[in-house]
Amino acid sequence: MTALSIVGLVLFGLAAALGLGLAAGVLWLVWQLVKLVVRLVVHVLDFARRELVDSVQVAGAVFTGAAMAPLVAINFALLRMGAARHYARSIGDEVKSAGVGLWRVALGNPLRLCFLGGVVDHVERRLPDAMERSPRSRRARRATFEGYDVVGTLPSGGSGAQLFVARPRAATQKRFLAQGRALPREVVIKSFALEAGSTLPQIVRESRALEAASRLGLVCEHQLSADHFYYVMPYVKGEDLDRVVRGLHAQSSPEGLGPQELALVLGYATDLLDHLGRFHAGGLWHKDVKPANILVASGRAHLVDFGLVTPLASAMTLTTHGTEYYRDPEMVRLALQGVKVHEVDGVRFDIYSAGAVLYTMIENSFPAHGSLSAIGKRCPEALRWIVQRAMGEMKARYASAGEMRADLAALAAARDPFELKPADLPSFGRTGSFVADRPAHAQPEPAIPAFAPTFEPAPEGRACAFRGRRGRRRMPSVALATVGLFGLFLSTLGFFTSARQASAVTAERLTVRTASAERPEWMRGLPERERKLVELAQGVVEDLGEAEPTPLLDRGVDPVETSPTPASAEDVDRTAEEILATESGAAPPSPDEPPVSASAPRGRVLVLEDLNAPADSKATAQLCGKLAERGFEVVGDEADPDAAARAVELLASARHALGIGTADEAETQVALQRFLDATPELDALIVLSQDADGPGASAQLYRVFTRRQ
Amino acid sequence: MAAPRVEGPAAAGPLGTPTLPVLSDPTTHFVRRLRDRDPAAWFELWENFGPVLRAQLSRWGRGRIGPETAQDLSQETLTALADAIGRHDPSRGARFSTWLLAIARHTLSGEIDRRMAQKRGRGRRSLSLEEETAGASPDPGPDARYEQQVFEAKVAAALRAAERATGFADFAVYRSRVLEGKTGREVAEALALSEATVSRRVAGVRERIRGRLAEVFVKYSFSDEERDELLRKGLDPNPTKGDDAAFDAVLAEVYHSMQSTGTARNAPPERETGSRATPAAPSAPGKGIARVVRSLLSRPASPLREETLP
Repeated sequence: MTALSIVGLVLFGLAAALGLGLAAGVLWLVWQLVKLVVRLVVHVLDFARRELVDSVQVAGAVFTGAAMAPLVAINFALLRMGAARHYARSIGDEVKSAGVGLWRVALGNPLRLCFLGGVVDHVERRLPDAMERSPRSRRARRATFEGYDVVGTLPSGGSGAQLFVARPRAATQKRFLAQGRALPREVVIKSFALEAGSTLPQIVRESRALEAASRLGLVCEHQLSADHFYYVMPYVKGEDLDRVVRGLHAQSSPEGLGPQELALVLGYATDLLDHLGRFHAGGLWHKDVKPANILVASGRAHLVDFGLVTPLASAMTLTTHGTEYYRDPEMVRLALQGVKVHEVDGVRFDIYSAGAVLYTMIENSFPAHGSLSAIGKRCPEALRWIVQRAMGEMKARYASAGEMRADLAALAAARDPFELKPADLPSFGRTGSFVADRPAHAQPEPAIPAFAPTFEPAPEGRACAFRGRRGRRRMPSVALATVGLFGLFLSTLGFFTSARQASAVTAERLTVRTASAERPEWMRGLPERERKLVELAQGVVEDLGEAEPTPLLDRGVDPVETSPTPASAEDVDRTAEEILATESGAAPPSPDEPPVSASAPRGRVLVLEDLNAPADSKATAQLCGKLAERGFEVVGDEADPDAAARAVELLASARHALGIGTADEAETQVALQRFLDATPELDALIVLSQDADGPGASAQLYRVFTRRQ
Repeated sequence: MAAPRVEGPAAAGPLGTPTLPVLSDPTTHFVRRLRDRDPAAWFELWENFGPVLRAQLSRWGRGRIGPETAQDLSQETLTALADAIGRHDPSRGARFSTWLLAIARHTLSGEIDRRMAQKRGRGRRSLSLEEETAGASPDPGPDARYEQQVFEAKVAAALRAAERATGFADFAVYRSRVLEGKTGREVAEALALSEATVSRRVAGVRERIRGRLAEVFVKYSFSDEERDELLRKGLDPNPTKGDDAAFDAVLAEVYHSMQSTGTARNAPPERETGSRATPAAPSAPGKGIARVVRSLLSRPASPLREETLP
């Protein structure tokens, strides 16, 4: 009985549960049905609303157009052609508006009602785009260029130019062949005409770009006439990177790029960096790297549009030109301060843009938050690191396109990019404070020249090496040009801010110089002529009448104090004069000879100043004065405009030498030395800055380089 | 390293304590720089709040103004700010965000008026900026979304400042560990560090961020209620030791929220060969912040109101 009751209860329970489940299921179905019906009703109502709105728009456009028609006629009758054209154009706009409305009423909205909204949206987005990009043969027929047949046009950019696609005629091809060059079958002609709306500043800017592009072999030829100016470039047929990236992401899952797409992206990025490397090696700054300026053809990416290309050594004032989100905000900040182009590191600004382009390729979106933009899609950790480093703060950024390219190449060569860690990247050891935790064997010590002093890092909070320009303006007429060169050097050293805490390698390097018997260890390793040049600088500094012995090269080292028998200033001068006079081809002066000889300088010295930690201007002027008194020519005398201009070029070249090759202190020194060795008109280079203790301190930091034979 | 304490009225009392509506020193200094047409100050304002303004203007003008116009309008807004800055009276108790929004609203309505006038063949009607600094009852008013965006913009400004001050390497550790949510071990392995080093560096960067947050919120706040927003949202600049995890969690949340709204709220960059909506690139001379700053510098600075700006 009991068992039967239990079975009955169980059966009842099961039946009840089943009933409840069925009821819940029915209720759920009914709810879904209700929701569906509501959605359908809303959809239909939305369709009705759209139809109504678009119909009203069509009616309004027709009415407005009709109302303006008499105005056209009246103005035409009154011979007010300008007004007539204006109203005629307005009627054209109304007709367009009516046409769009009619399309939506007749087709667009009904198709949306049939749940084909995606198709309609695509058509509405792509059709105008395609029409905008189509070759405009009507406009093309108007332009003529000698030796070329214009076959179409390309959309104009922001430079005020017209772009034509043309085919060289046979005679032109022959002319080029006779010069040993070949023209491609199709070329792009970029044309500026005052009557077509171009302005003189645009033409001037482009002509500078033309000069730069010609040096890279990117321009076939150019012509300048009284009313227009044009140049001819090879035509790269391809899609811009924006579209290519959209396509790649369309093929991939929403989580991110697939392996094949990722490989393509790495390839495009590598191509881009190759192009940038060429630009930088040619002394040029592209200044407008962005997906729209990168064309992909035959699987390779090509950097185009040289409208903003600027020589890195340009003495022009920096402008804010560029494209938001692909342009480092720091550049805008510097431009607003009025700095010159050669005072900033254009290479690193291009690197930032390359990082932003890489971000776009990974994310299919633009970096809205600059360096803080996060990568949300699936991406190898090492690639994420590369993007962050390229877009990171100026001093930590890749110093050259080659350095970034090497990291990308390592990633591309990895068997599984997702397994590669940032620490495995070739450049990782140069990322400042990470040196501390890396095993010694994994961080090969760069070859440091024997004379290498080590500077203290720039004080914290110095965000930019070139901020001191206002201070430079206030300088008295110091007979030297100043530049942010050494600021870059110090800011590079700023990597080591954190390394001070634990870096055994660095600490060893810092202390090796203090174990000195007669003179510091590092000075004993100097070649004789370099040591004497160093002593010359020291002698000059002593002569300046500082109350305290001025540290030479580093505040941790004081050769005067550590040397038991310091040479007198005259001895030092004499020896140094002999060295420089020998190198410059002049006869060594006798001790009785007056030191100053305006006609035959005993050596040309370029003095560089760190704008990040500006040296005291008075002391700088005194140093230059003393050097001049001793018969050295300080390059860049402001009294001589030609010399000053040449100094600007020299300084910019030195900065460029640093900009493309430096990632740490040792490389900086090597780059400076190479620059000096490659510049026969210079005999020595003195770099000076304020002691890191701040402007209140009187100590100046000096470093002397001499040209090797 | 202890986090810098918030000086001035912002730290005058606990949450809700009534304090005088007087600007704190950093705010005063910043407003003074704006009035003096300091390009760096204007650039700072543009960099930090330009995207928020663009987003708001795009939302208001949906269907009527494109992204390029929104960009131009946000420049107009900053120019209007330059005019209004001299008339700003903190005693009226407006929030910084509200003040910004009121001017944006007038700029947008001015643009719409101008378009209508152009359609009718008339010139631009001059606008009264009387209400620009009132900010008490703007219509449409600042909604929660806008306030959240302003808050995120301030946090982003603090993060940028901390990134600059900290250096790439240490900030990268903090970013990976806290903002991107990786474990200490993952970060240590990726960057060839020990876990202890990761923790030490995270702590150091956290302190810097706290300091910068305090500075930024004091600088860009007109009212105590605005300054107290840090506390209310769990980003206490003067915390106890146990607050670190909560601080990190809140910051990571803001960071992710910022990312998800970032690209949506901003217009895509100008393209050289793009659709008609975004036809021009690179930025033409005189466009962008340079134009704004030039126009500001060409006008005389607003007279200082010493009675309200100590």
